[in-house]
Amino acid sequence: MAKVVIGAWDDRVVDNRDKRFFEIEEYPELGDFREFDPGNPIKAFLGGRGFFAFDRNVSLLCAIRDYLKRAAEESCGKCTPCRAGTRILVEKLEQLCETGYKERSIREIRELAEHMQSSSLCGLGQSAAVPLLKLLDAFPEIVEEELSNGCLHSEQPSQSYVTAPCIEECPSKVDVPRYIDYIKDGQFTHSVGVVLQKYPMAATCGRVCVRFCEMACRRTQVDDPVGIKVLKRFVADQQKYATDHWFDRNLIDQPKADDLKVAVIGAGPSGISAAYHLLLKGYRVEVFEAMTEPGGMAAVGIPEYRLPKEEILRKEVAIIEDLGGKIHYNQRMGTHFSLDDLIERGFQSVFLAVGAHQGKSMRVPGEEDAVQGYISGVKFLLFINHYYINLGLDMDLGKKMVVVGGGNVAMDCVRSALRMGVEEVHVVYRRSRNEMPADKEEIEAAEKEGVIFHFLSHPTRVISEDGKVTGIELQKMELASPDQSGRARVIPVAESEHTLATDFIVPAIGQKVDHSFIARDQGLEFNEWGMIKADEQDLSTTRRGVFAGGDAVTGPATLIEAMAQGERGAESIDDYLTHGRTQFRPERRFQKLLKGMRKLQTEEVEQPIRHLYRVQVDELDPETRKRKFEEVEKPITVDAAYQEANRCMRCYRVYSVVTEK
Amino acid sequence: MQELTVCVGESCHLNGAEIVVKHFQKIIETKQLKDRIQLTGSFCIGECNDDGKVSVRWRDRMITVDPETADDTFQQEVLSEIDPTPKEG
Amino acid sequence: MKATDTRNATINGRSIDFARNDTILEAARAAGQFIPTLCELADIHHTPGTCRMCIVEVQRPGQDKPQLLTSCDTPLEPGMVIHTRTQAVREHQRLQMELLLADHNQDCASCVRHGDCELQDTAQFVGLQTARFAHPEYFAGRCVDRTSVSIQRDMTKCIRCRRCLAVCRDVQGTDVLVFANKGVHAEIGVRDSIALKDSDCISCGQCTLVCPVGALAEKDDIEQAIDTLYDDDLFTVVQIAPATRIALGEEFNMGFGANVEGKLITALQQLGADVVLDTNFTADLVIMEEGNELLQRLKNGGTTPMFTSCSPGWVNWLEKNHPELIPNLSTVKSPQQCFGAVAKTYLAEKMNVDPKRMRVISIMPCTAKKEEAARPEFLTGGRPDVDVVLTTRECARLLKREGIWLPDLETGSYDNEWMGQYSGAAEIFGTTGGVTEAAIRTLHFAVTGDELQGIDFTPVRGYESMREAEVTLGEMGTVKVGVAHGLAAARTMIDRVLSGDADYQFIEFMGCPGGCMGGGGQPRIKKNYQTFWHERQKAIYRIDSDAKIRQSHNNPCITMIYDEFLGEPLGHKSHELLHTTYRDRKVEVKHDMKTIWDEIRS
Repeated sequence: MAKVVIGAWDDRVVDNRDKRFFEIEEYPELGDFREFDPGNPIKAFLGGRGFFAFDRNVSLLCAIRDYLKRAAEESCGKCTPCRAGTRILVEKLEQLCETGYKERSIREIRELAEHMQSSSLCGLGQSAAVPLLKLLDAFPEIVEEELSNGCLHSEQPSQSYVTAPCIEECPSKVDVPRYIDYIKDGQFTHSVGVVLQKYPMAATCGRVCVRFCEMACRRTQVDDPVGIKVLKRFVADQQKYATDHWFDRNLIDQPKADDLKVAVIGAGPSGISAAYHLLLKGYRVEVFEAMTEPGGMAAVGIPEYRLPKEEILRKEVAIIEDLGGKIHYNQRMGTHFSLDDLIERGFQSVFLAVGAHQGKSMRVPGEEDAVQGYISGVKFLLFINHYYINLGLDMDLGKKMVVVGGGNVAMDCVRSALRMGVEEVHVVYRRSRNEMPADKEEIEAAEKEGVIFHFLSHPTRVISEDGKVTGIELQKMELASPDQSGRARVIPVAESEHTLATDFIVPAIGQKVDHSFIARDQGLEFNEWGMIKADEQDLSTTRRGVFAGGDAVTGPATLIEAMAQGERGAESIDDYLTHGRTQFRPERRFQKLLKGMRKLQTEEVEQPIRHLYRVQVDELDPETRKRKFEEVEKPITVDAAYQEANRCMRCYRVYSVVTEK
Repeated sequence: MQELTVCVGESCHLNGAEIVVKHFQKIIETKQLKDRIQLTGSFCIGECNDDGKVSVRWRDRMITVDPETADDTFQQEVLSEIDPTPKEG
Repeated sequence: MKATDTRNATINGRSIDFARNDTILEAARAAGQFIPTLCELADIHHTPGTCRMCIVEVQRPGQDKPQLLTSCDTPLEPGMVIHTRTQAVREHQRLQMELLLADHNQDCASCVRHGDCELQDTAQFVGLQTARFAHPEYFAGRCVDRTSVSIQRDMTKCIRCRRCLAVCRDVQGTDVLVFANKGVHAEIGVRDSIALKDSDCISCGQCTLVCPVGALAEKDDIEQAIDTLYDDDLFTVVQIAPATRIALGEEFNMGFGANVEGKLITALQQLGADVVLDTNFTADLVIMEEGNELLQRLKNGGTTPMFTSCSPGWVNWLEKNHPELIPNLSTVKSPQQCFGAVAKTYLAEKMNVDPKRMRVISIMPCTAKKEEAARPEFLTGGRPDVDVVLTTRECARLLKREGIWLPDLETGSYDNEWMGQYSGAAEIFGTTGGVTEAAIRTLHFAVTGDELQGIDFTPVRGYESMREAEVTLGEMGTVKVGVAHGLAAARTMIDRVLSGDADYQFIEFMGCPGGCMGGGGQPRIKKNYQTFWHERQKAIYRIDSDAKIRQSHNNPCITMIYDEFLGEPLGHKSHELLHTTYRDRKVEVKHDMKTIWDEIRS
């Protein structure tokens, strides 16, 4: 909790100068603002809407000068007020220090600051001068006092952080406005370069990400969120040869000692991301993958028509090899080698990214007896990928299929089934359409392609004859009052059982971690939901030197979260192997601080903006595409990319803290 | 057109169904049998075994195939029953 | 706009109706209320909102205080009350101007745009009284790229209006320019940081037409021209392009579409030119050669469709983007280059002048012509066939430097029995569709023995970026021709050629929108882009219709040069002097992650 001595944020002014520390009440909306890093108190905090001082001995003018300096560095340079204004303000503040308080100079400074605030093109310029203006407005006597004390002569330890709502929402903290800026500027190579700083799977992410960033996009207040994912795909596809030519071992500035080898288990998004960062840090990395192809859930769980494996996924994974990493396929931990074996082979640290691939069963009578015509969703997709797509083997799936579940895997199953010739494809989901967790676009696409949806319907029995599935018994559900978490409850409707004849049943109701990769005595613990127990901060498991991330730790989640965990795992392993302790990372601290003050950050778009509709992404027409595995979403043109990029309002804000050390 | 179905269910998959498929595909290709034999895959056909063999259905009967001797099995069981290709001339 | 859609706001007390997404600026202009602007350019729908000069005071309903908003990109809302001239607005505009000047190279006296600069204009519009901020260190690191012989880039003067980006990307589709760096170092760069002369830039100069300041300009060759004209030991021959004579007058307040051919002849003679001649003569020559080349290709199954080759911007584009289509290009040189070649051989011989003493100066509407004149293919004995190329703009500056006020001069005329005549067909080279029409007039005669009925061939005239027509040439049957102007249209046309959809035998390509009359070296009109096509084009067709000789093959000087010198079209001498070859100039840029990441982090 934070005790504010003086502060001004939006319309609120806080002045506790006449109180002693123990008399000051804590400021409710500020999260944990006591220390920046352990033993280093935060003395002041500046943001785009004001400032807070938590200590009497802090020079606010100094802090503001440093704040403006950072803003000047971040200024994109397009508009005049911010580009020149930030630098001139810094110079004028420093001049003021030489001359002392001068009415005229203060007036000029205020004029310039107000001008920046009112006429800058983007959020950065508009907010950069706000702490200064708030100080001048609410506490002019402090300004006088500081100047007469020769404030700006000495340096004050401070750190700054520049971010935007989209960046903060992204688990990987991709610098979204930056890569969109590069598109606006015509530098597509650099745009994808920004994305590649975070993970190698840019084209993959640009096709399948759930887009937390777009959910936070402020453009939604004007018309629609910016097509951030579509733009990522655009630049990644444009730079096709990036995956072939850009990466080699020259990228590694400081190779580590030869014996520092790290084993990564799983070549899925989390493992690949971890391997990527570890290789760039200079470690030797070997990846062990149980399947015969890389990509994990992205390869198995996402069908070809959403993510082409050969041209896109595999090429991006090959970057690991270009950087000197090795990937061993058909190496299943628990079958071909154990954790102890790895240690014996000389791996100093291990990152477990085995994912959650075991399908949950429906647990209804008759399920155990069904042998023919029953397969779990993820397995179904894996096998189709393997035999139909890769080997070109025609598959006989019967004439009717029922998929149970409402997530993306279920949608992928039904759309794939259609493409493989199943005439009638059904989806059975327990709740209503609104509650279906799958992407809205997937549900719509499946509907267009002719999938038959059964909402508020739940399986009660699997019917089979001699082990071969002939039908599934379903029960109708109805919506009841929501449960504690606010989720709508459903209760069965009595005597509503009916049978749906079918050749094939595919339960796609969720996945869990397959524990067969590790024996009980290896020192690795799991939590109550069956996921690997790993520390929230540094992803360390209960066994020393072993870290874990991705679906295996979080449970089935998203591609981007898995990749973010991979990056964090790499950082932790780097800390463990090189530094011996978890390093303090200022950026992560800032992210936490900002999360803790969410309520003070919601911002409305304050100026009228012309409506420009979001880029329309063309698709292959439903009738043609439902029988083909060709990529459904067509690429956008260069002109469309420029136009879409121009919709980004560049919501950057600078945040800074003044610390004791 | 005669149907040759390889089981690619979990058990047969682990026993090497992929290898059997690849072998069969190769023979069909080299001997130009594409319009005589329809090679398909199927999920579990209920003939799971513990012998490391892959279940295959040929016309109306079940065969078990050892991936190591897939070519021989094809010769014996399948090729012998196909009408010989009429000679040219 | 339906009546029920009517929305209402006030500007300076005047009530205005508007439709959704209309901007404050559009409404203000319609209501006759002036707001000073700088970066915006309505003709290319460009409202980047970067200069922030067009700020106005806006009181929105429901807000307790008015806001300062830019008028070019802010949409109107019902109930808005807008004031454009309050004291606060004026003070902010002046402060804005000061900030613009803060990182701008304020050395106006030596700048090519002094007196013709939109930044200077805007300073006047806002009543600038003092410029407090001058920070040369802010622009010290910016790029000054003088590698190209056609276009100079001086980024110390760039005000980041991004008009050049808009024209290069959206209008021409070449997309060579990028916005580079951040903060005060931000500037316009070339993609992949290549020097302009080595990049995909094709020197069309459209960017120089829209740049409001001296950041982008034609390379200035006036000093070289003066050196040449005033050197008594040199024999200077000047050629005037078709599109120059109808635009030069704009620089002397003579309005749009004034034909200043006669006065320009006098001016050049006054400046010391030994012989003043006309590019139109060699345009006629080009028609003779190219027309016969097309007939030959059609008869002998040569590569078709045949592409015109007189626009160097277009030729540059083809060499850099689709060198595999070089066989489609006509091998005939452009009129400018044919002129240089025949002047230093045929004319020198006839006038008894030592070719080594002869210098050819051309006055072109085109920036790419400077690069064309410097091509290695066009050097003879180490000297370029065309020694100096001046754009129309440079010509105007040259005359003004020498105290010549064009309107005051007598109207002169060509006085040279060998190269002093041209046909109307030649003059129409200056507009899109002109080369094709000129070629058809001659082709018709060559094939049928009769002049084209009506002389004109209007189906190829017009403004659409891609056009087509069919003409029947006697026993040859129907010939289908295509016309494209501007590089975006050229790209589409080439895509059609590559996909097999373009069933033309002949395609005319012009690198600049409108053809030469819209060339990158033509006079600029502030706040306008290609707005006065109609007037310029009308003037060109007028010259044609008023001409005594209407077809290239009827130009007696043409008959003479073949009889006495060249022999026949496509003959040995023609090939030596009037035909050329082309090069694959495709640039492949290799990238690597290390460089990119270093640049991102810097």
